Amino acid sequence: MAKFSTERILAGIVENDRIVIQYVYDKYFASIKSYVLKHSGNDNDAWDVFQDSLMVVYEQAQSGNLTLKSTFITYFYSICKYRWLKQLRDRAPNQHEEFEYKSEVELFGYNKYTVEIDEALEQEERVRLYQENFLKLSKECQELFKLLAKGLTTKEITKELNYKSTGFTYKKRRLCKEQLLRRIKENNDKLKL
Amino acid sequence: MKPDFKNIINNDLREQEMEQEFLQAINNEHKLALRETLANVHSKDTKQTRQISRIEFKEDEFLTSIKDEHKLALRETLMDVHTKESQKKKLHIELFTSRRVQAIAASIVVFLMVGTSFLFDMNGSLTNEELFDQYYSTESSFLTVRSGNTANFSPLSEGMKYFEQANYNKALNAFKLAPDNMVVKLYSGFSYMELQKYDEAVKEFTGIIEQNDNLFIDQAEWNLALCYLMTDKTDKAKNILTHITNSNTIFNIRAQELLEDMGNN
Repeated sequence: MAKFSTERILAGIVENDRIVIQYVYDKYFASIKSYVLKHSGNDNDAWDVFQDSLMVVYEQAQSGNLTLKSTFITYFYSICKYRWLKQLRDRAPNQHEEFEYKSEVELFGYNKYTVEIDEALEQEERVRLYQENFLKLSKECQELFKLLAKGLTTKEITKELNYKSTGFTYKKRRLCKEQLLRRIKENNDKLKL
Repeated sequence: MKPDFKNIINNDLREQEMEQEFLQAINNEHKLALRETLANVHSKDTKQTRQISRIEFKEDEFLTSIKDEHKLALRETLMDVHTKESQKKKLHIELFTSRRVQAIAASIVVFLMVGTSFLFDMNGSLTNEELFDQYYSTESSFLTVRSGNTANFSPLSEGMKYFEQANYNKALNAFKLAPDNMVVKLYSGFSYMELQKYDEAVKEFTGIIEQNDNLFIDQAEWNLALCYLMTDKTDKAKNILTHITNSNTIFNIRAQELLEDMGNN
């Protein structure tokens, strides 16, 4: 497997370069998973941690204000660990003392970014829930929601998708929304376990 | 007198013992504090999981999140990589465990594995609408029409003519002239389904079932189930489908399959 430089990886993430993403996944997901499993998490938790952290990297790299003094992996691991410890802390505040959480971050010299990363991660959780479930919807519903997101009116959407009437579009929209809510609910139910 | 006296002393002693035990227990401040913390953590933990698990849906927030096409594409790639990897692993495990089985048997297992996981993926994401599309077809409804019935009934034959031309509104207008005919009811139902007016179609099919003395009950039941499916009345649809699977009609097997495909929808 080819080795990519930190710059190349960051650029690859911003450009949605499949080879780079596959590389990051193959190389780092297993160790992040074992970390999460070791610290009372499960497979799904690990996958969420990986996704959210990578998205934070994406956001930071894409906005251009990311200058790494370390290698990609040091940076990425620290975000992943931070993300997981944060979840543990949120679950049971008394069990996981602040110092453990902080020292993990300070160790890597990211304490000044802490607040920033904290906020970013918080947001990522909701965005993940929306995007992940959106991508699991039928193509038709995805299309409909994309047009809605673009700000098209029901009339315009009816025309765009060649629907018979605006009434039909409303109905589709309702059905798609129900589909989405059902998936989000399923997600929530899984979290309860 | 004597036994009572003894009893009193015994009770007294027991009480004293208990009191001492109790005092000892609460005297151990550390242990008490520890228990308090434990109870605290526990209740917070359960509260927290509830909080985490209830993620509110905000439509505008949702629409904003899918507007970011770059990020959406990145997530799609990521999910794809992840799914492929997990599937590969499953396959690997299956291969590994079946090593002692003969080569042919092993290849069959792999084949089945791939097959079922593919099916699982498809069914896992099938919505009621997609199920409907898969099971609904106008043509098969046509097959059971008895041409003899249409001969001397003019609103019906008129309507059927439009129906075959897929001119469902005109067909319905013609059908309305003979509202009590069961064939008319059936084809009115089909027309409404084609026009995606499922609630209207339900009325027609229910009428046929309620009349209860005609040849179209099977058709009506099957299509009624599909209408309920399409309007997300999943429980009603399941009830009818279960009823059909217990009957002896041509829809028996299809109803069984559909029920299986519906799974936990």
